[in-house]
This record gives sequence, structure tokens and C-alpha cells, in this order.
Amino acid sequence: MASQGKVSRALFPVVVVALSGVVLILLPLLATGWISFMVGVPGYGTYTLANYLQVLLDPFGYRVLLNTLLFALGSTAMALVLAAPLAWSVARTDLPYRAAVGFLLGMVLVIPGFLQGMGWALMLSPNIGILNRALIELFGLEEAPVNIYSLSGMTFAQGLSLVPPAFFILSPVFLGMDSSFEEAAFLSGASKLRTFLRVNLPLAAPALVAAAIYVFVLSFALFEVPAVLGFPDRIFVFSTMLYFFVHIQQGTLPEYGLAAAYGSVVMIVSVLMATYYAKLVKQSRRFVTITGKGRRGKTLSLGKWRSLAFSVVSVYFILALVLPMLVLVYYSFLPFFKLPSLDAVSSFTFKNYVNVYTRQGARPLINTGILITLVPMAVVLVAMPISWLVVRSRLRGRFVIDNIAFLPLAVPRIVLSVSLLYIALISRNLIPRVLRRITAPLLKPALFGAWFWIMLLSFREVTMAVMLSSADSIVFPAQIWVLWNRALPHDAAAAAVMLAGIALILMLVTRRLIQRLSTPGGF
Amino acid sequence: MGNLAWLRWLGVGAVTVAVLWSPTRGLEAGQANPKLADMIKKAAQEGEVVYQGPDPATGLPTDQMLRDMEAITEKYFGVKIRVKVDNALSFPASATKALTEIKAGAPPTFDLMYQTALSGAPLYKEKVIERFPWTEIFPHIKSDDMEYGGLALINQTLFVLPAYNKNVVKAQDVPKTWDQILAPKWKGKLGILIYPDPWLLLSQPTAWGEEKAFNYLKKLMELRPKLGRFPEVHERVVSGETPLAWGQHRERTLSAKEQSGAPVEVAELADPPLLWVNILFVPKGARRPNAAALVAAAMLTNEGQDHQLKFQAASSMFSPGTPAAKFAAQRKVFRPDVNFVVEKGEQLSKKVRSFMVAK
Repeated sequence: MASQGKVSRALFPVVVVALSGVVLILLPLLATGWISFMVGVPGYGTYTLANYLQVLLDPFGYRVLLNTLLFALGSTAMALVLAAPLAWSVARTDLPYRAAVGFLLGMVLVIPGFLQGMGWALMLSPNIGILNRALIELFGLEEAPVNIYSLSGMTFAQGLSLVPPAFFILSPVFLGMDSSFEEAAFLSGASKLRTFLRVNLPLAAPALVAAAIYVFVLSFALFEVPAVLGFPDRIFVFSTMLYFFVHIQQGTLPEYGLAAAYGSVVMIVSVLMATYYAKLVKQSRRFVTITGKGRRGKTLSLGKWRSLAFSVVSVYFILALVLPMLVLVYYSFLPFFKLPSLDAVSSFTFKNYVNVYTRQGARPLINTGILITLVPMAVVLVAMPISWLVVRSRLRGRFVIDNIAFLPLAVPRIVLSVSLLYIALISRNLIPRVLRRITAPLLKPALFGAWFWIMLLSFREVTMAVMLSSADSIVFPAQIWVLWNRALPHDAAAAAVMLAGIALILMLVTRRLIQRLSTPGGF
Repeated sequence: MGNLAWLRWLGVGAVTVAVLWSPTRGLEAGQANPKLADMIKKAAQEGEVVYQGPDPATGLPTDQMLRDMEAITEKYFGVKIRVKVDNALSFPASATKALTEIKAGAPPTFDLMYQTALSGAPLYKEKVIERFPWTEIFPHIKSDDMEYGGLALINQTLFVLPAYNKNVVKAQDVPKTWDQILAPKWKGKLGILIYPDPWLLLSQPTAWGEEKAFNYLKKLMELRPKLGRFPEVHERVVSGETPLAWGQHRERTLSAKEQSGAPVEVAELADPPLLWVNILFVPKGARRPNAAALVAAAMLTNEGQDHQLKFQAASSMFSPGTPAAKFAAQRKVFRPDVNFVVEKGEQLSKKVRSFMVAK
């Protein structure tokens, strides 16, 4: 049996699927390492250590590293400070409208980062930002009080959009926590705040650290917000630097080798963090309170804190969802940018919405539908056996598998998509053949939750889609990016509003489905 | 604008009908020219092309642009070729994708590629562009119409000049020379292009030379300009965030002004503008080389140039009578020297980058 470190015949298919998944994950990552030792045409250039020498010797790289660290740490801290109390409030308290929180966070998650960046630029640009201008007029200031084109500005915008992943990691932990500890604290006279700080938070510590690592590694590789808010003022992080190497080179080939060398360095850091993450998961088994065996307690009353908590949550959603969406909607009706005024409203047009369809037809929407149906299926089919092996089996080396599964998250998507491009050239038929032979007999509600999460992520994925799509396979978020790139920002905004609308419908339908499948605490 | 949309559609339809019904001079030429006849025959068998090129810059539908390309090709060469567009990647990424595929021994994804003379240079350097005797096969193509030593066709030339927001920049402040942009009053109010192209071009001995070009760039960067690609720089000018752009495509700025009424204007300098040369070529090993060559050649005909104007707000200064030719006739321009770029592009690109990222 697996528990004895051996693989029985019954478990053989699980192990095969898990290992196939590991191979699928490793292939592009190994390709990244391979490309990093090359200059010239990727895969056909000459082997060299020059890329790594440049990584080590270029002071620009160190500046970028510092920026990336500050950006990732700041965004992670902000996301966790907001997500932890939010997850606890939704899971354990009588916060008003808490059932809608997960749903609204899904909406935050689904809006591509570059559109959130665009929204914030329109609100807080020092020269034309709507909020900045309002503040200048209101307080008679000489210059804009806030500059969103700064490291702190992009950290703020990114932190807001990273709350959903942290929330979705922490929410089940608070939900499954044994309530007898809370009740003991209350019986000892501890207040709700003290109970949260001294009981709930320590109990959730491993999950908090795991969420922190996940969000930190994610923010290390994020591209869109830094591209919109940092790039113009030369505040580079890893991802925008790689973009600079890959997309801005003219007259010569893009520096994929150098980009891959930086990507590989990030991968090594990620391996170290993943190892630590694995240790935490191992240790967390000692925290019997989070195994789901404990008794689920009654909902805690927030009492006088209820209004305050609701206000804080509302402010978050106004900042992370309502304001960027309002700006996008406003932008989507304009023929060209105008500050809000009667004149601007009188120039509103539906032309941008019509253009979204007339430019590409329904193809991007159809492809997006196919993508969000197939990608979650494939991911769940591969991830399920991997998770089972890591969490439930005693198979030797299972934490290595876990570490590997964690890796793609950390590799900038630009690098990953380039690697995938080359693998696609080498083995066009291999991957589909392997996947076709896999069947999924156990599609349970928990898996459905994972399916939903991946569906949202694949729905809003831009970078990979842009790099790997072709004439017949362009998807909706990639189309938005293309419109933005072609100096058609108002069409892009119209498409983004449509994307959000479709996401809303999708989530409503899926939420109903999940409710029917009765996953407590799910969407 | 919205009320007149039906007129534009009517115009598009009328042009398509006129193109389809007009005499097929190409067929006659094909009968007289065996090489062209052979190409037409093979193109008919190939039937379609995958075109790596941009969506319309003028707001017209992509599908209409493709159908018009097909119609013009059919008019001139009497063959129906389906044009499919594949434009998700940036120009350098498309060039690398094609190059990698060719090096791997696979046919490139694209049959017909649209690049700038600089972004396509790696393919030229690696000798992976299909050679056609363009001038021999197509009488309307002259040696001036070609780039990369006769491998690529110049379908558009755009002039890069400063652009400004006329609601924010006073008439007397509009720069008249490149040097006037270095005035301290533009500090924090300037947008510049992230591409190294302008600086490669100005570094040519036929322009400013390397020393002057980089001294200028250094001073420019001291003004803390906001970096961006063409669309972002344009949008920041329109919004007034950076009321002056160091360089924008003249024709597209004017087209955007006309199309949307945006408060943008071009600063017509006394100095030479920079020339942005856009080209069409067939990558080596393309699945449908003959069909691709016909579509490319069709874009250099009179109707082809009208098509470029209508959908890309651009024409070629080497095609007589086009707006670009009329503009270029009045002044000297700085034209990119592809061989200079092939020789020094990599080194100079890195140097430009170090200036751009310096804080």
C-alpha cells in the first residue's frame, strides 16, 4: 500500500497520472533552463554562460530585484491584512451580506490586472487623475497628493487585486476550524477581537504562511499592474524587465536567453520557498484543529463591530471593484479620453461595443468558452492525483512532486509561454495523447470548486493567451490586450466591461450549481 | 459620427463592388508574363494565406480589411485567395516565432509577414526570407519599393514627428526643431517611445551620428519622460497626461484627430522627420508562398495603397501620388539603413536600453 511507501496495483493509475502531470509541468520549466544557456535563436543559437554573467553583473538587475522584493512584500502584506479578517468574518461571524463576499471577490479576480491598472491610472494619475483633480480642487492643493505611477502606487493596486487568492486559501481554514477553542476563550472572558488575535490567527498560522508564500510568489511574477503603473516611470520589476527584453528589442532578436536566465533565478528562489511551504504543510498536520474533524461552531455575533466591519469590507470593494469598473464603463462609452463633464457625457457612444464584435466576430468568445471548459478539466484531472499523493499517501518523494507542482506559479508567464512554444514545436501530439487516455471517475463538489477557481483564472489569463494564441485560437482577454496594444483603449474598455458581464453570468450559474452540490462555505 | 456610420459602410461596400467589377488587368498581365501566370496558377491551388499583420488603425473592422485585400488581389490577378489574420504577437515576437519555426525545419505559421524594416531585420540577417523576382513578375513594382536588398516590399512609410494636445500646449510653445523639445519646460510633461528605433536611425552616419544621437537621448531622459509604445504615448497626449509626445506617427495622429475629434495635432518641425518603413515579405518555407506574394504585390497597386490609407492611415512615399509621396517630396527625411542596423543594431539597442532604464 501507499502508506507503506509502496505502490499497489490499485494506486498505479493515480501515480501514473500524477507523474504525467509532473512531467507536463517540468517540460516548460526545463526548457526555460535550457534557453537560459543560449544566445541567438532560441533552441538553435550558441551555448553560453553570458546570460547568467549579465544577471550577476548588471546593476540594473539588482535594482529590479529590490523593486520586485518591495513590490511583492508590500502587495502580499496588504493582501493578507485584508484577506485574513475578511475570510474569518465570512467564515465565522454574522457579517452582513457575507454570502456575497466570495462572489464579489470572484469578480475582482476575473478583471485582468492591466484593466485594474488602467482604472487606477485614470483615477490617480498626477496630471489627469479624476480623484487627484477632485482632491486638488477640494483642498486648493498645488499639486496632486497621490502619484499612482510609483512603487507604492502599484503595490497598492496590486495588493487590492491579490486579496481574492489569499481569501480563497484562508476561507476553508477558518471554516473548518474547531470551534471548541473559541468557545473556551469566550468562557475565559476573552473578547472577540482578542479571540481572533490569540486563538483564530495562531491556529491558522500555517495556512497564513502558506497563503503568504503563494501570494508572494504570485506577485513576484505578476506583469500587468507593474506594466501599466510602473513601466512608464521606469519602475521595473522582474516581469516588466523581461517584457522589455522580449518585446521591445528592434533590429535584433529579443533576448529570450537573458529573460530565461532571470526566470531560472526566480525558479530557484521559488524552489526554496516551495520547500519551506512543503515543510509547513507537513507541520500543519500536527494542528489537528484544521483537519475538519472538529465541531463547526455557531456563527459569532460581531455586535457593535458589525457596522464597522461592514464599512471596511464595503470600502475594500469600492476600491477594488466598483471604482475601477466605473472608470472602465465610463471609458468604454467615450470616443476619446475626456475628464468627466456634461460634454463628456454628451459624447457617449456605443460604437466601441459594436467594434468589439465587428473587429473579430464571435471567434474570441467561442474560444474563451472552449478554454474555460477544457482547461479546468485538464488541471483538475492532473492536480487531483498529485494532491492525493502529497496529502494522503506516504509515497517517498511526494514533497518533491508538491514542490514541482508549485513551480509554474513562480515562473513569469512570458518566459513560460516562450518555453511552451518550443515544446509545442517539438512534440505536437504527445500531450493531447496522454490527456485523452485519462478519465475522471470522481467529479465531486470539492473538485467542482477547484474547477471553478481554475475556470476564473483561465478566463482572465492574458499573458499566456497572447503569446500562444493564433488566428483561430484568439481568446477574449487576449483580444482586449490586442485592442489596447493597437491604440484602441476605448474598444478595449468596452470589451473588458463585456468580459466582466460574462464573468458575472458565469459565476451566478456556477454558484447555483455548487450550491446544489452543497459544499459548505463554497461560493 | 454615429449618424454617418452608414455612409462609411456604404463607401466600403461601393469600393468592394467597384474593385470586383473593374477590368482584371492582372489576368491580361498574367497571360503576357509566364512567371506571373505560373504564380497565379500555384496561388489558386494554395487558396489562402495566414497574414501576420495589424488590425486596422482607423477603427474599421478587421474582417472588412481582409475581404478588401482579397478583392484587390482578385482584381489584379484574377485569383480568389482567402486572407486570415494572425496578429496576437508583437512584431519582434512574431519575427522570433517565424525564425524559430524555420530553424526547426517546420513551415512558419505565417505565409505573409508585416513588419517594420527594423523589427524584421533578424529574419533578413538570418537569410530566411523568400526571394522573388518582384520587379520581373510585377510591372508596377520598382526597385525603390523594395527593402532588404529586394527581399521585402515597402507597403507603408510613416513619418515620426512630435505630437501634442492642442488644448494644453499653446501655439507659441509648439516645438519647431528636435532640439526645442529639450527645453526644461517639458520636464514631466513629455512622452517618449520605448523602442530603440529612433535612436538607431539617428545614430546612422547619414543622420546625426552616434555621439550626437546619444547626447540628445541623455538630455531627453533628464526631462523624466513617460515611456510607452505608440498607443500608450498617443493616449497620454489625448488625455493631457503628457501633453507633448517626442515622436508619433504623423499620419495616424492626424487620422485619430479626424476620426474621433481628439484634441491632437502634429508639430511640423523644420528638421527632418524620422521615417518608419513598414514592409511585407514571405518567410522561407511558407506553406503558401505564391498566394502570399500576390497579396503583397497587390498592396503596392493604386487600390492597394488606397487600402493602406483606408485601413492603416498610411501609404508609401515610393508610390507616386500617395499622401506620403507628396509629403516626402517637400522635405528631407531620415530613412533607416537596414545594413547599419544589422551591423550595429544589437550593440546600439543595448545602449539605448541602458539610457532608457537609468534612474
